[in-house]
Amino acid sequence: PSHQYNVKMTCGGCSGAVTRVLTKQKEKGTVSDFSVNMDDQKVVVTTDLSADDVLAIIKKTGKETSFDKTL
Amino acid sequence: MASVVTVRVDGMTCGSCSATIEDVIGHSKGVKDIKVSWENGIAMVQYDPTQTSPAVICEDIDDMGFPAKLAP
Ligand SMILES: [Cu+2]
Ligand SMILES: [Cu+2]
Repeated sequence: PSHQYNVKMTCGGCSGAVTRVLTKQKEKGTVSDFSVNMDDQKVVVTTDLSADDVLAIIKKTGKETSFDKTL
Repeated sequence: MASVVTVRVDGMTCGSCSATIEDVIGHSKGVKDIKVSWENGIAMVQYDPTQTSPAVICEDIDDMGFPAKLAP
């Protein structure tokens, strides 16, 4: 499934940090795909992980994050 | 007794990046004080060596999405 999140990103450093964190997961094989959209403040993650697990991973960046919906 | 370590941090683009790191790592176990400069890509961390270590601090910053390593 693909889970969508609202993530408060205010600069390229923010979106870059979220991208790096999710790239690491992709390299580990836990995430198959993701997109980070700073204009919409949305992050979509395609994964077998639970929506809560992904939320915890994104929250580690320190950005304000909330679960939006599963697409 | 506190120790001090300097960590090289990449990927910060503005003051809000450094403020986020100061806020999150500043609340990590064993961290007493942290000053981050996004201009210089440096974090100066004061920590209690009985509770944490430079390796753990680097890993925590790395988990935030900012590549971190001990400054030479
Ligand atoms: Cu930012
Ligand atoms: Cu920034």
